[in-house]
Amino acid sequence: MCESNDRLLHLLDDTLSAEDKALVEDHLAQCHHCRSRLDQIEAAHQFLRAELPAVVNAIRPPEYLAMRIRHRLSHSNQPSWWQKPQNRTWAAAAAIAVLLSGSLLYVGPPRQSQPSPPAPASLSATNPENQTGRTQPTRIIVVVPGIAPQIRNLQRRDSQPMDDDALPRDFMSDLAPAGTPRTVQSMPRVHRPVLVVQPVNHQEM
Amino acid sequence: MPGSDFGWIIDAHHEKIYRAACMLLMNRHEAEDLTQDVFLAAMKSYSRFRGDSSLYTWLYKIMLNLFRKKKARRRLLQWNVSQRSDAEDFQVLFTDDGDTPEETVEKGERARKVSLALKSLSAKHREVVLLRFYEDKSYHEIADILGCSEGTVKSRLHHALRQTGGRLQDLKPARRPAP
Repeated sequence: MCESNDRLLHLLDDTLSAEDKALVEDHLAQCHHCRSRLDQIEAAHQFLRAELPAVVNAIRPPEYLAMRIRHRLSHSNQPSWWQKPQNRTWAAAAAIAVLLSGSLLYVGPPRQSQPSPPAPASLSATNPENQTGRTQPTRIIVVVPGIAPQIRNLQRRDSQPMDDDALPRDFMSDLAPAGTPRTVQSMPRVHRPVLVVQPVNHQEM
Repeated sequence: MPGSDFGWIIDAHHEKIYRAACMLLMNRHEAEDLTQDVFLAAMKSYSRFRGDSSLYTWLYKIMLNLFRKKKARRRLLQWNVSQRSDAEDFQVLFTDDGDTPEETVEKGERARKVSLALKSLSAKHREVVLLRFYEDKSYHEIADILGCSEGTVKSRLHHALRQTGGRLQDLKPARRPAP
């Protein structure tokens, strides 16, 4: 019975017991097939054992490598905007505000069988449509530091892309200094989340 | 773990990790990137290091995982060194400014033989060869690092030796440049 690859490897590694080693060598003296198999791997075994460590140890890393790794690691320690605790707090507060205002302001489709509740006086006074029993469409603008303004029109399922003309003039004039073009890109940087709820005119929708 | 405390780990192990990365990738630029990624990943997950193995073995495992991910990203299932680098780039690894011309030639010849022997191996066979003959790990340790059985390790090593043996028969000494 021919020797297994396992035992041939252990023979080359010289990790067989003396008894097993004698048995394997006896077999190799009689079996040309196993002798040929051993010769095939023995040359490679000796070559790699002798040459590979010397070749690999001759590799010299570039002198800047350790510095480069340190530099990369030191930069990875700096938290991003989102990872800073104070910014997380503001972002979380803004998200909660959006959720709360959305749930409070959302009104379902008008029921035909029951009269709608009266609209707030301030809205009723500015929009005659409120007299028909429908709620004034409302727009929420959230401005968070480092994030572009987000606009959401309530009572509309599709989100509207923001265009310059749709920005509320009074809101922009509050934030932007005089003479600043009223565009999203030119909006001044705010230091805390700002939440604005505004009624929307029909011309804008 | 603060990054400043990680400095001694970089100093102690970056050379060996870089050498192993060079032998796996056979490309010094990619080896630099891989070495950097190893320490970055190690710093992020250092809290999970339980000390079951040596720190170097742990780093080596990280390197192998990143190496395999790198391969998977490139969809190089049969990753072949000859497709990734040329012999010139590999031999640059062994050159040293302080070498004499004779030493440079000798190192180049050794590097050529080893690279030709290894480049015919697939990545999984090269991993085993490096761990066995360079890292001098036992079959049990190799199985632990690679996450496979000892039988698989021996099978891969036997296959790698047989393939390398066939390659060595084809190898002839490189023609020496005229003095």
